[in-house]
Amino acid sequence: MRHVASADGTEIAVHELGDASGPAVLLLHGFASSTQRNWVDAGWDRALTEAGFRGIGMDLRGHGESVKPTGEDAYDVARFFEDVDAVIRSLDSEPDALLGCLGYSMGSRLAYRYAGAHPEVFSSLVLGGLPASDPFEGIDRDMAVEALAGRLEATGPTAFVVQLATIFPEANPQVLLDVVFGVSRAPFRPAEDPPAVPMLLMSGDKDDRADDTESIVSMAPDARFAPIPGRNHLNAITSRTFKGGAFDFFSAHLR
Amino acid sequence: MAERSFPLPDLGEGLIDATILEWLVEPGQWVERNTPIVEVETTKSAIELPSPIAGTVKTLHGEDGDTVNVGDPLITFEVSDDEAGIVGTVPQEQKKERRVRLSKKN
Repeated sequence: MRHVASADGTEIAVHELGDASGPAVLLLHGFASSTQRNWVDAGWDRALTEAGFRGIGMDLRGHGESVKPTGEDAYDVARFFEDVDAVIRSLDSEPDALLGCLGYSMGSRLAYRYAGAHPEVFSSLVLGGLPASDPFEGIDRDMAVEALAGRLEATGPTAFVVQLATIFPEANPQVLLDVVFGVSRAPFRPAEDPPAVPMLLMSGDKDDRADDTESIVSMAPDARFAPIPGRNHLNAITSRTFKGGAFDFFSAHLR
Repeated sequence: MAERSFPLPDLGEGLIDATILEWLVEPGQWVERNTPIVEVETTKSAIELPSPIAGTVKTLHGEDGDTVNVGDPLITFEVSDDEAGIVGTVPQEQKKERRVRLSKKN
């Protein structure tokens, strides 16, 4: 693991996974997770090695072993874009080498927006657990703060965010609320500025957090959808179907 | 030939059990060490567990969807008698700080 300094000085943790000699894929984990939990624990390090890909796992700011600044200004989408820029600049790859990006949930939203705004960076995308709308819209901050303090029980979409924010001991729930409100200042709208590169969208067929992923296919010029059988939003990450689908797609577009 | 059983490892964070999402191996199958053998789900996350040894799968203790308690048998292998005598094989890859793996049942 190494750290890379982003434009605002925030140190971003970068984990090298898989086969260092293979085509490179940037890995962007989901909200409240980390490279370790979303990818390594779910078996992606072994799977990347076996498939012959180099995985570059970055812990998103506020997550994992990256620095966790406070205040929602630190979590504007523009800051996350700068983090991706800094991590990509730090790679010792050939100037014309192809780079893929694999995301999950919030990491998929970031990858989608980044690729839309920077069409030259990624040559293909595999995005797991991506809903067509922004799940952070409609989160009640007062309710979330009160629920984190144990003074009331959160309901609706706020309950899900509070649950995720408190699920892992290494996370800072207050910071994760800043993440929620920072990134959703500009709500995710997949029809606006979609990525033009080949894109594979995969969600569990029991994923009630991303049950409308397929509708994004018609919004982007080169997108397709493949379901992950029998899986929901939290347990799709280990699926062999997800891994196999991702590697087949990257093999076709990164080699 | 001898048998070696491995329990569901401690998954940390006070978790007492996990649900088998999907077995990736079947009885009679030869697996190399570190081959993924099962996906399990806890109340927090989904995890893939690798094989702690090379051997032939003898018994899977539970079916997809079953809940297994931490410390209860998860999988039994048939191994050569030489292998069975080795205590506490040290994993060779150490680059990850935190790695959930099966340990030998005493």
